[in-house]
Amino acid sequence: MFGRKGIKRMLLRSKWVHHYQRGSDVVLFHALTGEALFGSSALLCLFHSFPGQDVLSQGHPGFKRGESDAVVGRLCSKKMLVLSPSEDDGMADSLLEKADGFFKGRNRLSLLSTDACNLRCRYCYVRNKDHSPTLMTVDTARRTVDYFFRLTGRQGDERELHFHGGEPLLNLPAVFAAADRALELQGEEFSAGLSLSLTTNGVLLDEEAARQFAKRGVRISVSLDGPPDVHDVYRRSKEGQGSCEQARRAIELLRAEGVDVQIACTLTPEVLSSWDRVVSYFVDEVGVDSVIIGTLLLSSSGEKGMSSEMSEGRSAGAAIRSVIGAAEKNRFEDIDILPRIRAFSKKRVYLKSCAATGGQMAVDPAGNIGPCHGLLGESRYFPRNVFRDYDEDIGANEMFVEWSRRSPLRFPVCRRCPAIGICGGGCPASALRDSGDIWAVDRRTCWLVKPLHEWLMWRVFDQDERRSEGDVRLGRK
Amino acid sequence: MTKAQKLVFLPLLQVLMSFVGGARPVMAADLQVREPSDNAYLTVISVAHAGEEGSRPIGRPCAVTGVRG
Repeated sequence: MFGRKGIKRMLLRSKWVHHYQRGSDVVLFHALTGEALFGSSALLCLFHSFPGQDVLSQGHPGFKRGESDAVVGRLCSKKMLVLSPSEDDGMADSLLEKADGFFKGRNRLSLLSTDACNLRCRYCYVRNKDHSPTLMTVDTARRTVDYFFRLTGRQGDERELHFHGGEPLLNLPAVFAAADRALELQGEEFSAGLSLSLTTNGVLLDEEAARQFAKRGVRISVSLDGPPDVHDVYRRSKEGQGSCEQARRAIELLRAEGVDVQIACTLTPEVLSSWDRVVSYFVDEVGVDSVIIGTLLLSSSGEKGMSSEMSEGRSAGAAIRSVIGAAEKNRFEDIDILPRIRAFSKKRVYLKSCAATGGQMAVDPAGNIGPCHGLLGESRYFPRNVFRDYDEDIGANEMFVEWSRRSPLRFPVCRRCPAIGICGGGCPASALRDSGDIWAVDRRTCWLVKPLHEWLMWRVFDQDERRSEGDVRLGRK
Repeated sequence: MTKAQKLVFLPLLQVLMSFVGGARPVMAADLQVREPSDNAYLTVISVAHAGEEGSRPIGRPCAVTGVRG
């Protein structure tokens, strides 16, 4: 129906295609499929000749027709050249269809047993901690779990009940009541898995509490940022005393009772600059090699105390190298870098990086329900209540629907970003606090994700090149 | 233009254009492309495909703030 000339005129460059250039090397890739072609500037030159010039019928200047035809064929098969803009849009639409909605494949309850905390960590996201504290009642805790079970687990997906706050150990009766109720309902239902976990600063933990956690199978994450001179920079009491030794003691108590315990380390500039010493402290001194690292990207009340180094983005490369090095040598995990690398390695789009955009409900000490624990203390983001609105499905609530639609694929500026495939959209609460709107770009995530993506692409390039050379040496080509 | 004329003038024109534009003419030999294997992605770092489901972080309070406790 169409001659070569006609096809050439119809082929368009996909808007999801970007490139990185390093000297004469070029990586041309599709941001959503993860597919790539490696070559030189000639590849770019050919790609950018679309649409328009009649390369196929006359040959590209400098290219033999057969060679350019073969590359054009590869560009088409990788959807880098498409027949219409709708082909491009259709790809984004089908991803969004998969991503939209609530409690799809992920069911998480973030139970905030109190808004109070015994520490005043400089980077904490909870605002207004000096007001009179609210403690969740045992009734509210049980009702919250009932509500969560009513809404979730229909498709057999695992339920995750996580306790934090504030400091959850300030209200252990509510924590244990919720855990018991969840285990009770789980025993009746047998339909889906259940995981119970709690994050604590460890200061208030005693032997009895450790025993109770062990009995209920609650996994504990203790916040520890390194040895005292590193940890205590941010994590201090109201009186300004460091909390490192208490956190370490809590880890020992929990391990003695057989609790599955993990260190939660926030990657602050101070942690980063002492990274090798921090790793050695965790592994050799504390004796825990199960560490989960979170890169410090958001600080609200704590911003005044932040070093500008992290926020200005000079240390993104150092953060990436540190996390990967620790993950390769030890059992370290992280929540910002490794999940994105895993999506990249499987050429899978990392659709959402925040549980609050589709799989989480947070319930504050008064039983109010909102999407994000990070907004604790801001009542307008907790629009429903486990008593008043018990029969309502929050997945249909306007605010939850809006949050669940928040995807980088819906941000015009992000649709032009080469790293959109591994971004996940970042943190709506961070965007809200920076710009007053969850639909603002969370630039702190761009800081990390853009260099990460480029680093990954070149890493694949280099590894693949080494492998190709090896094949030639071995006579396999 | 005859085939013989093309053979003489087109390469000459390319070289001249490269001086004007300051760039080396693009040659057919440059259009070598490599297609990375799936394995090159899977092994991008040694732990890329390990532990995704097995060692999920405890609690995973927030994917972005990284702040807990």
